Amino acid sequence: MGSTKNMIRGLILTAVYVTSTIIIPMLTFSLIRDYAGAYLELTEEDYNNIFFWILAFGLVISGCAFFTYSSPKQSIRRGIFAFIQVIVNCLYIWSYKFSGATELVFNMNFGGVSGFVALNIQQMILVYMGIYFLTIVLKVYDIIDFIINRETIRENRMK
Amino acid sequence: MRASRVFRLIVRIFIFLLSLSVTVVSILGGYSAVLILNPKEENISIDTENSQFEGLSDFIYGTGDEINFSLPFNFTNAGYFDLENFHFKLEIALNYSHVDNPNETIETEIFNQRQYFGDIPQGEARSFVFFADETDFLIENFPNATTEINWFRGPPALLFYANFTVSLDYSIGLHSIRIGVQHILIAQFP
Repeated sequence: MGSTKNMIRGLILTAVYVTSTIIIPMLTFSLIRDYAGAYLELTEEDYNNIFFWILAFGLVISGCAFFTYSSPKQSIRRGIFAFIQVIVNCLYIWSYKFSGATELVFNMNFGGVSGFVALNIQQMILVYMGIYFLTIVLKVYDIIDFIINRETIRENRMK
Repeated sequence: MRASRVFRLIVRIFIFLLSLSVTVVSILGGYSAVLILNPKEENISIDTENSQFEGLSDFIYGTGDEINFSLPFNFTNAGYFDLENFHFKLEIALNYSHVDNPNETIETEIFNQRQYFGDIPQGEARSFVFFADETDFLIENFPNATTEINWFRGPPALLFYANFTVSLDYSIGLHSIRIGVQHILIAQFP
């Protein structure tokens, strides 16, 4: 019964991660391409590059999410998969930087005068990377905690 | 609950609050950019009507050796955070036709400078003057008035086009924004 419950939880969380790391970002960039593409300095190749990295990392994160959330609570397996997931999450955020999605340049025309507005969010991505580093520390702490207190966790699980 | 889990919970709450505040700052920063760039509010205005370009004609003719250029502009920080590292970059190109090839138009860069204007606190409007003199101009790029410029093209024989770029950091440095206006005719001569 417990394993079925874990599987269902794993599938639900995988669906959540597929939505948040693949579907929503891809829809956002598709909308940007369709409605603001003419004003952006992004080529079709740039969009394909962004879509490729979103899909690649999104699938790996979602796969990890399944193994993380379908594992029993406070198990070493869960700790290891959660750790791998956070590492891949970091790479996912970093992929926004090297896929060229951190600087958006909008070309504009104000009453016959041409101009542009460029927004660079690279610094923001780096701050999020810092927060992810704290999460990595927390996941390492979890693995150590699960190994040291293995017996106590098992006893509590049996109760 | 085990003591190790209590400690973990505290760290997790801290990380949650940290990511929540960064997200809120990011959203407000993006919205501030929209407020500042709102075309109805004119938060960024370059006062080309009151700009002064003194001594240029004498300099080109070789009868003077001083150029004074000033360009007033205003910036209103209509967003939620202070603006940092406010820079204004001006590029001026001289457009003329060469005596040897009158049908061809040549555009040469005679000015390229970026000036720092500090920070603008949230909600404040500031007026600045971009000033430059002959030492800031790219003298070596000026065409020779007698042997190179085709004065029969015009009037005007000389056209001065400018690119303006405003750059700044926002949301405690999380966003960097550049706003540019390109190829505006700022002067013509004679």
